[in-house]
Amino acid sequence: MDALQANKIVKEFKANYNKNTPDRLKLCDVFCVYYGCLASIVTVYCLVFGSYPFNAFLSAVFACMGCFVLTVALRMQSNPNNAAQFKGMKIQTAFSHFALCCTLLIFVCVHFMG
Amino acid sequence: NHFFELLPLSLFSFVRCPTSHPTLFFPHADFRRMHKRLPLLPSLVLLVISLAVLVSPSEGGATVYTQPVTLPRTRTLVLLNSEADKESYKTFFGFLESFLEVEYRTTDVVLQKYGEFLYDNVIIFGSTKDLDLNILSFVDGGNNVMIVSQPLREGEDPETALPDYLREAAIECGVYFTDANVVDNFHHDSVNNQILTSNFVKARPIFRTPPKSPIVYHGLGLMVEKHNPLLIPIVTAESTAFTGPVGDGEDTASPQAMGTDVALAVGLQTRNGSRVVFVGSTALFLDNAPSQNLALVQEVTLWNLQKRGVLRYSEVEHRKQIEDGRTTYRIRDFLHFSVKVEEFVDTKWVPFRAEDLQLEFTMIDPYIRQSLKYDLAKNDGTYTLDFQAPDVYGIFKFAVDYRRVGYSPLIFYKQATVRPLKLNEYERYIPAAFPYYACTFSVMASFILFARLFLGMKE
Repeated sequence: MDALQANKIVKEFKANYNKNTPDRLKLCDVFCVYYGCLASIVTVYCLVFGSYPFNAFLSAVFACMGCFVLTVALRMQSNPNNAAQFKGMKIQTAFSHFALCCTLLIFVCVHFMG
Repeated sequence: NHFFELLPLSLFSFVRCPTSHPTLFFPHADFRRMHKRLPLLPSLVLLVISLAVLVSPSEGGATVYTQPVTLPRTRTLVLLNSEADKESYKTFFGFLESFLEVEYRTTDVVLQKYGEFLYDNVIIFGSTKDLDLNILSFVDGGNNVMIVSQPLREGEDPETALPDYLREAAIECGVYFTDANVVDNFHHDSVNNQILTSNFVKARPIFRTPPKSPIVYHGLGLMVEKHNPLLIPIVTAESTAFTGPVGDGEDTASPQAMGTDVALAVGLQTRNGSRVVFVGSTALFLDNAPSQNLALVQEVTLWNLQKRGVLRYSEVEHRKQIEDGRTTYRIRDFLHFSVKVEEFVDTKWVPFRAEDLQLEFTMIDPYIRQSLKYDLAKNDGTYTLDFQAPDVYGIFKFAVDYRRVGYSPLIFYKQATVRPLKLNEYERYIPAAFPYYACTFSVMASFILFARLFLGMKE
């Protein structure tokens, strides 16, 4: 019985998500999932083959995780339901913050990679 | 180098100086003008020093060292018991005079005057007078000594064979002169106390060719301290020998030494290169002794006077195997070490040949310890070794510590710095890290793609 109920919940969630989420948020979600997958692949590679250039591993993981967090923040800011929390900040301002942070993060990660 | 370390210091002093007290340095001056100029001076000095350090040349290329040369030492003193002894040992003294300046005395001996030694070698030849000389300080000064005791005559006290001050000096070196002659009932000449022995130490520096026939010996036995690495029992008695008897009839004590523990001639190689030889009988040196006696005595004397088995090193060189302009050593560098070792044999220095000369590359503990290879192409005593420095940085020593029986110790070290890799000397584009590079650059590409898509969306 529990398996059937879980199945039903997942189906409802998927239908609701596809219908009710704006496109922008879906885009952010896709990229978040992508960053998460990248980070896990890289971690598995490190566990199997050893962490020899540990700084390279850290830089890859940090880039993925950092961009994940920044994309989540952008998603929160671009959600129209949260407009009151951000005091009506324009979407372009939010995106410019996101772009600046991402640039800085990737710059640092490429440097740390050696 | 150090420019970047000194630069912030100089700038810091420029900022810091207004709090210093100009009154202490310029009591007569007008401080309102001085106050503006004073902070500049220390910072300028520091900047100049840092620039000088930047411009100064770094250390030179391969480093080469040579050991100082020692002069020949021929001043010899022979202490006799009486003047008549000169006639009985003419062969031996003639042999000495052929390459030394010999002075014969029976009393009135001064070894040291105003801090300098008056002789280089001393042979105490059966002297029984209590001269109370400081033999050991003479040896510590790098000079050679031979102490020969008289054989004990029938019914006489042990003091007549060797005076007490010499016995005590011998004991300090680890050699004990027993109180009786050596007796051997199985290996002897016509008389029981003229024993025969063929036990000679196997050391090339002392006996270049080992004596073939046994020597005839009549004299005191010596006991040698065990586990003393400096002592060499040069001639020992056969396993059937013993020292004694001491005392008569019922008072006879058991022998002090038995078998091959009874030494007849003992050598001491000191750490500063000088040598002491203790012999228990002057009868070995007699003119009418068998020829093998005289041959043995000559070989032992040559070793004692440092005419054999003396090692010296020269032309120590250490450098990198590949010359690429970089002079300091780095971890995991390939290094080359070479040294020339020579041995003094009778009259001249000849190349020294050994298979077990070791080099230690050590920083507290030896990280590398390998045998040096003899360079057959040059064949002049040059030994070389090529090795890789360990993956550890610090101040290392190229150390050679070679001690063998009969040879003088060959100990020296040269210091070398091994530095870690600089920031731009590490590996780049490591193949094992390609997934990580791919991940980070894909994050960068995906960000650009995301930006394009996000901003293009209509809301």
